[in-house]
Amino acid sequence: MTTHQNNTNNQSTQAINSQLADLLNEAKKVDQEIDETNKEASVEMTDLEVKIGESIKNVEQIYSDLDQIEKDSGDKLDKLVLQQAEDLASE
Amino acid sequence: MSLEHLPPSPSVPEEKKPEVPEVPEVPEVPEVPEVPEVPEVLVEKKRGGIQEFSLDAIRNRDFFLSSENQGFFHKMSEGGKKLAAQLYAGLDRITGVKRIVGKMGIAYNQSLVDHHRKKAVGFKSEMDGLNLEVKAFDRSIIEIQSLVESFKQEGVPDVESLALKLKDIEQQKKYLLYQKDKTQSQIEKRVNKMKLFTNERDRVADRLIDHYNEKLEPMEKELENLQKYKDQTDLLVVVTEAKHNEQIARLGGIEKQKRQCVEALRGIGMSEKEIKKFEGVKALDEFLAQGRKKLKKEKQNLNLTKKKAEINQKIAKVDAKANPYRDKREEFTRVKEGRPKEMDMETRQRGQEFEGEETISSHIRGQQSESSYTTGEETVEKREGRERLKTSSFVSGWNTYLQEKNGKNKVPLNGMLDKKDFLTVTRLLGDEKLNFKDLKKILIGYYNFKKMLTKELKENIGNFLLERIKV
Repeated sequence: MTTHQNNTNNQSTQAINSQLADLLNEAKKVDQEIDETNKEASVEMTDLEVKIGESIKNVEQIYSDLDQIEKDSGDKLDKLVLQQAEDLASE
Repeated sequence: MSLEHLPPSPSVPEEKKPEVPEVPEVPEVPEVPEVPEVPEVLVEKKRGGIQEFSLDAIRNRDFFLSSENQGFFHKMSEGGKKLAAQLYAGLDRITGVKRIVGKMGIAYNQSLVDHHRKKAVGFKSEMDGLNLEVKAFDRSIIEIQSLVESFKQEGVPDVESLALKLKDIEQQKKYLLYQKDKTQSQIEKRVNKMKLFTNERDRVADRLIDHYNEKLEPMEKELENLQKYKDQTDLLVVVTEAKHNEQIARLGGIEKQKRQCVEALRGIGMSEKEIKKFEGVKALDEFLAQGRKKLKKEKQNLNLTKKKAEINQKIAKVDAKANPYRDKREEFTRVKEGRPKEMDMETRQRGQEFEGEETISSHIRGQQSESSYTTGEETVEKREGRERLKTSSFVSGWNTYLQEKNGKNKVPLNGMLDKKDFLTVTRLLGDEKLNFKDLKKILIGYYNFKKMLTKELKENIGNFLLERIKV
């Protein structure tokens, strides 16, 4: 191999090396972005899960309150109806 | 003049109305709101042929009564129990959630009020008869008094017997007045009983309806929040998947360029062994493998699709439970106001029980399936997945498309994107290159989250991307 050929090869190798270094930087950047994307998604998903959990808890509490109100009202209506039935039957 | 001139014994005239002063008015029987004769929930049961009741029915099926009311029921007379059994017939066959509507229907059963009303009307007729009799007596008393006076002046003998007769009539009148008072008390007692019952019943029903109104408002608010969170989750999943796809694409691009570098190294005479040991190639190979591995692992860890499905399932479940409460509020008001049930109502579609993963489908009837569109030799779907565009360029392009579509119309188009808001909501930076398929999903997710998604917008998004791909 001539000196000229050696020089040319060296230059080519350097150029390829530089290109590979750029690609490595780009790969590192992507790697960092993967971390950021996942971290962000994880935080946001956790936040949403907490909010959803709270809302579901609130709605379930409302259902429970309504069930209790229904039960109380139903018992009162029963009492009234039974009293009326007894009243009317005794006449 | 003799006693023959005496007026006939007072009797109730058939047509001629007495002109004596009015006696106190018998209280009017209050108007009771018209309610269905039998609660609607029971009508159905009647159709089923189970209207015949037995005392055992309520004895054995009194589980819907509270222990206090059961105690009362067992102490009731046989007649009272029978009547209660009649009223409650069929209630045990009404499903749990609707039982309160059935109970309200029973309390608003017209027969309960009708019984009081009939009794009150009977007393009222009796009272009217007594009034007429009293008035007839009054008329006779006046006439006899006048006769006694004129006999006295004329010196007619035996006026005393006439005076005795007058006394007798007055006594009879007193007795009638006593009877009248008694009847009036019975009417008042009956009316009061009816009023007490209807007032107490209305008070319980109103309190129930008020509570419902009070509670349903925050319930709807929370369900709205849940819907918002669901849309936000959908958007998060779509955006994260789009970012992952972009990262995979970028890693693929780096790999492709690396292969070109390797080819160049071969070109300058480097052996395969030397290339493998070449620092730049080695480091890049390691990073690319690490990146792919990390991406795969993180996607598994995040498991967004599974989480999204779980969230959707939870929300759908809680939302579906809201429907019976919404319906019951309507039914309470209907029973209370005595409105007939509206038949053949369309079933509410909202909040149906979740059954598996929801899929976003934008297929429009009469329109060709998206995947069957072709541009040249490649399907649109394939090109949508392959072609990539910077998010910011996509937003600008979409806005321009909408403006051009709007032409000279100065009215702002529904769907124009506020770039800043779009990037904030989606947490995109603007410079990432996403494929068309993901951009489309993100745009639909964004409009959905903003409650702006319409059929027209969906069509426009599809047409816009089709045009972009053709370009």
